Amino acid sequence: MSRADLEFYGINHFRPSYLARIFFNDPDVDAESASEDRPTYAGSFAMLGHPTCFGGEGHCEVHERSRRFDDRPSHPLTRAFKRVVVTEALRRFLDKGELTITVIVSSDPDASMSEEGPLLDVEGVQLTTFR
Amino acid sequence: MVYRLPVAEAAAAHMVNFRQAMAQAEAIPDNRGYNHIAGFHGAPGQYCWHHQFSQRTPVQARLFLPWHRAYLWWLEQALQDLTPGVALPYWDWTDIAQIPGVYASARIDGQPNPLLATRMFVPTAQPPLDRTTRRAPGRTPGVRLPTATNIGDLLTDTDWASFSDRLEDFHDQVHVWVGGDMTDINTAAFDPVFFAHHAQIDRVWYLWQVQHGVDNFPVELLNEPLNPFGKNAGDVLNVQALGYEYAASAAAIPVAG
Repeated sequence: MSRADLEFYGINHFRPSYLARIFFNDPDVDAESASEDRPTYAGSFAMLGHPTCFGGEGHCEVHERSRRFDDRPSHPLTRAFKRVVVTEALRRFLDKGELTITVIVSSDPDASMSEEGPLLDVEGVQLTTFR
Repeated sequence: MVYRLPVAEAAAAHMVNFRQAMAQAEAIPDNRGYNHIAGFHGAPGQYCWHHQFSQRTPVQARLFLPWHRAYLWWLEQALQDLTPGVALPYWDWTDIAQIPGVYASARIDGQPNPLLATRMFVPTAQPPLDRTTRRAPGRTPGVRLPTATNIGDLLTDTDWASFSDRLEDFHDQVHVWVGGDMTDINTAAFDPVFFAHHAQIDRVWYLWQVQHGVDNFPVELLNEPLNPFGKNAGDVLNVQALGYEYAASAAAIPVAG
């Protein structure tokens, strides 16, 4: 294995900006104990978000385009993709059998959010390795 | 052609010129001014390219880097209308791991510092935006600025898609670290430090291009438009075609005679 990527698909970024830190096989890690110094730390990603909507009703609703002649760019809140290179961390855990992934998400304590839901809202996660 | 140089102390000639141009631009309320151009990114323009798809190509439209390169070019041209020869400085956060002093001082040489903040004015926003930009560095637990090691490792990545995704993430980290209006896509570009940060992002792409090829870019995306700048992605691959390069220093040498 020359490289391993942890990929997050369909990330909702109608959210305050945040930092997501990833840990392998460390179910006890929490916001207080999360640190890059933990041996279970695998990597992180950051999300520059849209904490608020500055438009009128419907402005921040993501809609699918189906009209033939509408080739404008998709909505700015189209769900996002992030990849985190976790090669070294995965090598440390390759011989452990099962792999659990814990993501600790943090933002500015004073940040506000326009819609309800978890700060980290993703449609899928994939671990990809390369030879 | 101009050289974009690193952010330096207030008395450095390129910073004096840049502050002069920014002070002029911030005083102009029409479409030549800073407030209007800052509004391209989020509120009210919403042109910035981060995670969108293009209906024109099935290839994932990684236009984050080209779009922001065109954006910097547009502002730089507007500033050169006001102060000939001025160039955007870049904030190399691997070297200055804090808000640079010249962006943090309230006054410089007895004058209000145009790099500290600007007055956002977007009357069509709901509610209307009419206030001074603000920052809150380092408030998100765990966030830090990228290091020289991070960027050195990134520059060895030979795959465009991977490089672009990873550089965009370092970019996001810096936005989160700066805090305040920089953490909101709608307001980020009103903070003058936005452009110093993005000049550094653009410089890292430039350094990658030097190593891996100026034309190392998906052919399917070359004709993608970069709105509202009147350019497409293929137009912005070569920075020399946009009238600038990056350098560590530049000093005029008097010619005798």
